Formats: sequence, C-alpha cells, structure tokens
Amino acid sequence: MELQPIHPAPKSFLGRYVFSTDHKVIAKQFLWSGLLFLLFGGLLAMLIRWQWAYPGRSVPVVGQALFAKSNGIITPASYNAVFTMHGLIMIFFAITPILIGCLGNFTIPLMIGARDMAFPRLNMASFWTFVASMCFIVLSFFVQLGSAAAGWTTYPPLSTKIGTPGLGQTFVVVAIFLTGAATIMGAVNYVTTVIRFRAPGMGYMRMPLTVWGLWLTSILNVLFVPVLGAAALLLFLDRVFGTQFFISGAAAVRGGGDPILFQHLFWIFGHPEVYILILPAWGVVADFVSFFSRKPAYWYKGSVIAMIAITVLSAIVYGHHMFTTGMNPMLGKAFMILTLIISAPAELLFLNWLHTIWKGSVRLTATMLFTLGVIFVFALGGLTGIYLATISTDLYLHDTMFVVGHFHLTMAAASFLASFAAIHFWFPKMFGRKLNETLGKAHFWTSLVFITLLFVGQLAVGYAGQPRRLWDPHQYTFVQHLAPLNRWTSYFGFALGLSQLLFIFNFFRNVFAPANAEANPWGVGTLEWTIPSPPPPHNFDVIPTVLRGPHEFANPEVQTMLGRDWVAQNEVLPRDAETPGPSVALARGVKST
Amino acid sequence: MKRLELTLALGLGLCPSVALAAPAPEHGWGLPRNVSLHGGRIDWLINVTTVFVVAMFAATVIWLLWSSVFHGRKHKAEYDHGSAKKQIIKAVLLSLLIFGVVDGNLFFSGMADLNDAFWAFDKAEAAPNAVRVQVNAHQWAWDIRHPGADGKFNTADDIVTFNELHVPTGAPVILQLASTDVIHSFSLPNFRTKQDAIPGNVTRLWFQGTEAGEFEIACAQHCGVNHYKMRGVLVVQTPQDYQAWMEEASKLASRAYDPEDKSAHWGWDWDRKNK
Amino acid sequence: MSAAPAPPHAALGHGHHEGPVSWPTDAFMGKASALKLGMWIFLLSDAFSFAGLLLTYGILRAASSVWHQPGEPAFGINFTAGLTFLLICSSLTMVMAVAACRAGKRGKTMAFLALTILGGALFLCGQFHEYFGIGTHGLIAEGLHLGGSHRATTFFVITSFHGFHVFSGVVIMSVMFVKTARGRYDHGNVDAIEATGLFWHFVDLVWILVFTFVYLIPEPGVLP
Ligand code: HEA
Ligand code: HEA
Ligand code: CUA
Ligand SMILES: [Cu+2]
Repeated sequence: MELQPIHPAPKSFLGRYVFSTDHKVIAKQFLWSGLLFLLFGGLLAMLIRWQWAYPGRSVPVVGQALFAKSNGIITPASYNAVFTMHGLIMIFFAITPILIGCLGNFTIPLMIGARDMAFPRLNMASFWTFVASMCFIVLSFFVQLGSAAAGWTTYPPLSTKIGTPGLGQTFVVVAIFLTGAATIMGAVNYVTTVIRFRAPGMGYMRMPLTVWGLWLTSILNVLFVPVLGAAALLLFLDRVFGTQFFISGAAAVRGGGDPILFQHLFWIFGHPEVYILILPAWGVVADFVSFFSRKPAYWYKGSVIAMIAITVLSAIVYGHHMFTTGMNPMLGKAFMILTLIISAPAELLFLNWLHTIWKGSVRLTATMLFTLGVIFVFALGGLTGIYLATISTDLYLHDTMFVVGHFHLTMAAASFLASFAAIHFWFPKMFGRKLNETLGKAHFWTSLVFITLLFVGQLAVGYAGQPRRLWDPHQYTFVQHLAPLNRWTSYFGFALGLSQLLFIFNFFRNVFAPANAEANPWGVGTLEWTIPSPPPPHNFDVIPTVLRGPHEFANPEVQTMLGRDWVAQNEVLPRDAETPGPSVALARGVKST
Repeated sequence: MKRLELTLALGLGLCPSVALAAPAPEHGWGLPRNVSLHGGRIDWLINVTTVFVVAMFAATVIWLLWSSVFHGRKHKAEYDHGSAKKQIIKAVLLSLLIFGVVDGNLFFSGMADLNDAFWAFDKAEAAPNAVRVQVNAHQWAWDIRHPGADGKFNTADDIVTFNELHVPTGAPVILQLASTDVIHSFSLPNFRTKQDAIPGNVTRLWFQGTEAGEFEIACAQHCGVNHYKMRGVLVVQTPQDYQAWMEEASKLASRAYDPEDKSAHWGWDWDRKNK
Repeated sequence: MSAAPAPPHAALGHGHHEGPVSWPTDAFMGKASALKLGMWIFLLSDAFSFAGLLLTYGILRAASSVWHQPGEPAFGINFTAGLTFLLICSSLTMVMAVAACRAGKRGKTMAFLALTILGGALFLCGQFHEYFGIGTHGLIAEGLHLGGSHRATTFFVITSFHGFHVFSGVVIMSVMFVKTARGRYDHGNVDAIEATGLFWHFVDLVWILVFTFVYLIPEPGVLP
C-alpha cells in the first residue's frame, strides 16, 4: 500500500511556477506552450493559404520581415519549410501538449482521486525536456537554409543531406527525438498513475471516459514513440555521421540502405500517433455528451471496449500509408482489411455518443457546442478515411489534397475543437473562473462554419486530383480550373484564423482575473468537482471513496432524495448515511456503471 | 545527366512536341476526365463510397439536430444506461450492419479492382501487344526509355525521351520505375493511378489508354524544391500514330547513341526486378 | 439494479483519516509498488526502441548480398562471450543484493551492489577494449568504421546503444550504493533496489539478444 502524503506547498516563485512538481502547474505550463505553438502553427497555415490564394504574390504585412531576400514572396524552398513545420508543430507541439500534456496532467489525478502523479519529478523532467525540444524547433528557423523542409513525414532520402543539406533539418530531427523522450516520460507516468493511484472504489469501469481515453493514448505512446525515437536516431546518424541506413540510389555506396525501411519505422509509430491525438478527444466527447445531456453515458462499457479495440487495431494497420510504395500485394490487402475493421468499433463508439444525447436534456453550453461540433467534423473526417482505406480508390487519392482534407477533419477539426471543449469545461477548475459563454459560443459557431468550409474545400480539390505539397498547384493544367476554389478555401482559412481572436480575447480576459468560480459550476459528479476551484496543491484533503460511476445523471431516486439530477461519484446518499456501515450503503446504492 | 538527356531529346527532334504538349484543362468540380480502361472502376467505387458516406453523415447530422432541438433543456432526460441486454444487442447489431454493408462493399470491390485490373500485372505482361517502358525519376524530371525494335533495354536502339511518354491506345502499358536521388511518385490523374519511384528499387505500374490525347504526369511525392513543377506529359496515340512515332524515333535513336557515355545507360534488364 | 461490490476499505473515505490511502491494489498488477510498475512500463517502452533497431538490423541484413565486407575484421566472439558471462554473473549478484536488502542486511546489500557495479564497469571496459583496443588493436583500428558498411554501422549503433544502457545502470547502482550506505534502504525497504534490479536484468536480457543477432548468427558461406 502506497503513501500519498501531503507535502507542504512550495513557497518560492521558482518552486511554485517554474520547477514545479505539481501536476496542475505542469498542466498549465503545457497549456501555455501548446497554445503558443498553436498560434505559431496557425500563422504558418495562413502563409500556406496565402500562397495558394495568390501564388507568388508577396505576403502582406509580415512578408517583408519574414521573406526579406525574396521581397516578401514565399519561395518554393521556404514554402516547403512552411508546410513541413506547420505539420510538425501542430502535431507535436500544439495538439500533443494541449490534449496530452495539459489535459492528461490536469485531469488524470483529479478525476481518479489522487494527490499527484505517481512520479512528480519525472513529470517535471518531461516538461523541461519538452522545452529543450521547443528550443531546437525555434532555433531551426534561424540557421542557414532555414528549417526542416522534407515534410512532416520526413521521408529519406529527401530528409538526408541529399535533399535537405541545412542544419535546420538536423535540428528538427533532434527536436523530434527530444519531444519523443518527453512524451515517453509523461506516458510512463500516466499509465502508472492510472493503474496505481485510483482512489478506493475507483474501479476501471468507474473511471471517467476522459481518463480512459488518456490512458489508452499513453499506452500507445509508451509502446510506439520509442520506434519513432529509433527512426530519428538513425536518420540523425545518416545526416551527421555519414551512415547509409536510408540512403539509396546514386548517392549510395556498397548497395546503400533502404528508404522504405524508414517509412515502416515511421508509420509503425505514425499510425498509432493519429489515434494518440484522437483518443483523448473521444474520451472528453464521451463524457461531455453525458454531462450536458444530463443523462448517463449510453453503454459505458461498450465505449470502453470500442476504444480498447481501436487502440489494439491501431498497432497493426500502419501499412495503409504505404499502398503506393509497391508493397507485397498480400500484405497490402491485409492492411486494407484491418484498416476497414477499425471502422466497426468507431461506429459503435459513435452510436453510443448519439444514443447518449438522444432523449436527454441537452444544455447547449459552449462546451457542449464544441462537443457536438467534434462529432459533426469527426463523422466527416472518419468517413473520408474509408475512401483511403480501400486500396484501389487510394491509388487515385493518395498524396492528394483529399488525404489532407481527411486528416484535417480528424485532427485539425476534431482534436482541435475537442481541445476547446476541454478548455471551456476545465477552465474554472484550472484558473478558478469561467470563460465567457457568449464569446465562447461565438467562437464556436465561427470556428465550426469556417473549419467545415475550409477542410471540405481541401477535400474538394483533392477529389479533383490536386496533389499535396505544391508551392503553386496551378502549374498543372488539370488543376488550373481549381484556382478559384483554392482561393475561396483560403478566404475561409483566413476567416477561421480571425475567429480565433475571439478565443484569445476570451482567454486573456479571464486567465489573470480574480477567481470567482464555484466548486462545481456544471453540476457534474466526477471527483474534481468535489473540491474547490482551483484545488489546493494536494487536491484532496481526504482521499475520496468512490461509490459509483461518473455519469449518474437523471437518477429518479437521487432526484427525490437530493432534489437534483446529479450525484457526485463519492457522495453518500442521505438514505445510506443513516444506515450503519458503508458496505450496506453500497449494496443498496444506486446502480453503478 | 540532365543536360545530356536534354541534348538527346533535342537530337531526336522531340523537343518541339514538348513545347507543343498542352493537355486540355479540366472543367467543373468532379474527378478529372477518365481516359483509361479501368479508371471507371475507381470512379464507380468512389461514387458508391460517397453514397454511403453521405447517407451516414446525413443520419448523424439529423440525429444531432433532432436531439439538440427536441431534447433540449425542457425535455426530461431519461435515466438510461443503455446497458440492458436488448440495447447492447441493438447497438452491436446496428454497427455490425453498417460495417458489413459499407465496408463489405468497399472490400470486395476494392479487391476485384486490384485482382482484375490495377495489380493484375501477369495479365498485362501476357498481352501480346503489351508496351514496356522504363522510367527513371530524378530531381525534378522523368527520363523515359522504350526498348526499341529489339525489345531489350539498355541497348543501342533504345528510345530515350525526357518528360514525355508516348503510348498507344488499346494496349496495356507496363512501366518499371526507379529513381536516382529521392522518392518520387508517378501519378496519372486521368488514369486514376500512381506508383512511387524509389531509389534502389524497381516498382511497377500498368494502365491502358482508351482515347488519343495529351494528359499530365504529376509527381505526387514531395521531392524537394521543384516538386511543384516536376511535370510530364503522357501522349496517348492511336496505334498507327504510335507506330509512326516509334519508327521516326528509333531512326534518330541509333544515331544519337554513344556507347562511351555510361550515364546515359541507366536502363536495366526487364526481368530483373531489383537493380 | 446491479449492486456494486463492497470495497473492503470503503470506511476510509468517511473516517477523517489523514491522507495516505491508495486502493485498490490492482487485480492484474498485484501489489507492485508504483516505482516497480513504472519501471516495468518503462522497460516495455525501451524494449520497443531496441526492437526498432533490431528490426532495422534484420531488414538490412536480409536484403544485403554481402554482409561481411572484405577487409573488415571479424568480431571477437570468444572475448564477447566472456563479457556476456560477466553480465549474466552481475545479474546474479544483483539478485543477491535485492535479497540482502529485503532481509535488511545493509553490509551485504552494499557488497553485492558493489560486485554488480564492478561487473557493469568491467563490461564497459571490455567494450572499450573491443572498440579501441587496450594494448592491442581495437576493431576500429582494424578497419571497422561507422558508415563503412551496414555490418559495421549496425554493430556500432546497437552495441553502443546497449553500452549506454549499461552505463546508465552503473550510474543508477552507484547512487543506490550511496543511498544504501546512508541507511535509506534499511528495514527491508527494497523497492528502489528492486526496480534497479529490474532495469539491470533487462539490460542483461537485451544483451543476450544483441549478442545473438550481431555476433553469433553466421553468414552462409562466409566465416563469422
Ligand atoms: C486524428 C487523426 C486521425 C484519425 C482519427 C484517422 C482515422 C482514420 N484514418 Fe486517417 N490519417 C490521419 C489522421 C487520422 N486518421 C493522418 C494525419 C493521415 C495522413 C498523414 C500524412 O500522409 O501526412 C491519415 C491518412 C490516412 C490514410 C492514408 C492515406 C494516404 O496517404 O493515401 C488512410 C488509409 O487507409 C487513413 C484511414 C483512416 C481510417 C480508416 C480511419 C478510421 O479510424 C475512421 C473511423 C471512423 C469512422 C468510420 C466514422 C465514424 C462512424 C460514423 C460516422 C457512422 C455513424 C453511423 C450512423 C450515424 C448511421 N488515414
Ligand atoms: C493537428 C494538426 C493540424 C492543425 C490544427 C492544422 C490546422 C490548419 N491547417 Fe494543416 N496540416 C497538418 C496538421 C494540422 N493543420 C499536417 C500534419 C499537415 C501536413 C504537412 C505535410 O504535408 O508535411 C498539414 C498541411 C496543411 C496544408 C497542406 C499543405 C500542402 O500540402 O502543401 C494546408 C493547406 O491548406 C493546411 C492548412 C491548415 C489550416 C488553414 C489550419 C487552420 O485550422 C489553422 C487555424 C488555427 C489558427 C489560426 C491558430 C489559432 C491560435 C489559437 C487558437 C491559439 C491562441 C493562443 C493563445 C491564447 C496564446 N495544413
Ligand atoms: Cu518528384 Cu515530387
Ligand atoms: Cu493511418
């Protein structure tokens, strides 16, 4: 039996805000880093869209400063760096820190009733390794030949000295290695914490689905990020020490290496990675649909099983990114069927969410709107995945904007909107204050409309065959007629970018303002809402004893007894309090799921 | 090497046609015009998928709207965990049904497409009129090699062209692809197919044109600074025109052949799959 | 209405106990402490990084026509077999150290830890000798170079990655040694030492795989 002693809260500024081991502070550190890089990645996206709206025209306002040598025009070489770094930053430095670094750190201990993570100092080390990685990313922009430009997938030989001789690409490979290390530290911590630090009574089948999503994500991280680390290490050796793991063709000596080997290593990690980014989003969505429909989550166990099934399957479908590499046909077909099978649990999960809001009492708060938005865009994103899973249609769609549309709808729309849902929901617990609901709703509606138009625009040009990663797509005759569509898509992109100002405004107006939120502003029964907002450093004065599942809404018995439609996971009902032993109370207790 | 191919192409009198090569622009919102024997299969399957996707997406949207509007704040929430046996069976059956119908269709159609067409290389190789071509990609152009009259690659009568591939209608065209430097991808949007060209590897692609005309070859894999203009032209000719072009080109080919120039002989034996 | 199973310690939530509870001990994970559990999970992760490297090794070797390039030295299998034996012995002494610690015998724990550290350090010296040669030629002087061939490159990458693990193990065990000396692990407080032991056995186990793949598997038709 472990001890979770209450440590005295640190007094010094450094101990409290910088080198803190408090999971809530580390969560905030990840949130700030993530939002900063989200802004960075978003601005890079605006450059991409500018280039496609007005190919070769100098960028207004910032152009002269960013692209001084070319008179404000994005050159083809800079363009390659722009989309590469946009993709890498968004995935590894924006969505990962927000959804996993921040959300994972903040919610896991609070929701399972722990005083901190299992290894608080490892947690801190994880963040500071991440900071080192961020430094390399930023530095890479300031060296000669600029930042990495071989695509976020970093395929060699293009990503070796043959294709990208600059120091920037090397820095980025180092940054990927470091952020991988940071991720593994975090993931080991999360997995252990969930296994060991659940409060009494918090069985696996009573954990909030948010925790389930984050836990499964962490398991995938533990298993597959090391493979990325190995790939990055070998690529680094190829770049710096002249080895030839991945070099082939004219530059190879003694037969050279195998470029496709890198693709295997990359996608063994890369495919789980995309579920790493969506599982936390699914978790929060599954919880929020219940919380804001005031209705228990529909078939909780089914959702858990579906998420586990997807986690397991995600390890064995990666080949669907390599259908056009000339892989063994039998292998290709196996990957096709496995990929298609993933859609079965996805459908089950999806149906469970829809059933949850069905016949509920839906409250359209900003959080709920974002949640419904996630369902909307994820349906579109997930369903476009099945065009790609079928090899024959993928032969046409591979490496077109259709793929780009697919993954923006899943990651950049679903995970992105889920981040906002989560931020709105936990903001009061984190900062002791609610975000403004009206601003939040305005941010939601503008974001949803423009995100849909933007990414459907990408799908549409992809459907017409436009290849991805083109400085000027309209060089191709068969793409020329899409120029107006590309321009309109850019306008939607700019509008989306501008609507984020609503969030930035809302965020800054509240984040430093005095705390005034109640302990439980949403009327939700999970453990973090049973303690003050924001919680004390040690979270729980007394470790709670959990009596029921997280979604006990609309229970008629509770309604008559307490006069409200929710009950906390550890709340002892008055009826049971009178009876002598808690075990009796539990035996007669409300139905738990 | 690039300069050399260029002179070769000039010598062969092919350059004018490169300049002339002007594929017609596409129109409207849909897929590019299909000009291949098997492209229709892809179009059909894409459309079928779209029907499924639209149906499921519409169901989702209606469901979301319906519950948000009619099961709002005023509606009393049902106390329902959805974990009764009947409900579980319903949910599982429903998702299995959707899965079976949608994914089942995609799977079997996709398999048929591969086995009967896109990956049916044995069938294509067996055709008596099959046309065999080797393509070597490099930053940022396509070198193309026809075997000439002797049917053998890397011999004096090979026809080497630059960024321009001539093929006849009505015959399967089998390409073997390789690359000198980085990974490229040989993509034919109007033929609904593509294949990566990988250094140190030989990969294959086959297709069959149905109408004469000029169509674009796109490089679909990011390959560096000028990836965006690694563009080639596919000239599909009637068998007669193709024959005429072939004869003209082979005459010039033997004249331009230089046995000393090693770098011009990048071809490989057709049977050897790996260089 | 399905009744929830009654948790045995449920009372703890009501009584105003000061803090420390962690419950339930996991049905699957037994009573392993967080530290030990964390170590297991980390080792699983680390195993995947070795798997990535060994997969690379396997694919490159399977695809090569000539693995052992002419002019490159052979590996000294006998010498390395000795190192392997040394490492296995050090795993044994590690087991003894854990047992001694569990029995609350500080002196014995320190002695066995020291032996284990010695084993690790000697292994590292052996590796140094293999690479650079102490007194004689090392593999590098004999013409085995990083980047020279896949055989040479994978050899250096995999063995040095493993060597780095050995080094980390030696550092961690030295810290444990000092802490033991200060009495931190008296009274059977065996957790940290046990977790260190897990790491050390893992390093040992991986070495046996590395030894098998990199040194032992002979090339058909070519002398090892
Ligand atoms: C969060 C990220 C995320 C998620 C969740 C997914 C989910 C899926 N992805 Fe995606 N994918 C990416 C991110 C993601 N993907 C990225 C980043 C790339 C490209 C990387 C690059 O090349 O740069 C990619 C590329 C990619 C490819 C390679 C394409 C190519 O390069 O040619 C393929 C091919 O199979 C694929 C398939 C799928 C499938 C089948 C799913 C499935 O999991 C989807 C399952 C979901 C559903 C099937 C929808 C839910 C169900 C319903 C809506 C039914 C409801 C029914 C009723 C109401 C009646 N994806
Ligand atoms: C999760 C990941 C993610 C996200 C969120 C996005 C978001 C966006 N992406 Fe991105 N994209 C990728 C991942 C992502 N993308 C990847 C992996 C690639 C492939 C790269 C490659 O090919 O190698 C890609 C490529 C890519 C392309 C194709 C480039 C090409 O092929 O040549 C395009 C083009 O339209 C594009 C556009 C956009 C746009 C307009 C957004 C918009 O949604 C952005 C809007 C967001 C903002 C403007 C930021 C707002 C800021 C805040 C809300 C923070 C607030 C801050 C504080 C409070 C401090 N992206
Ligand atoms: Cu060649 Cu892109
Ligand atoms: Cu994938």
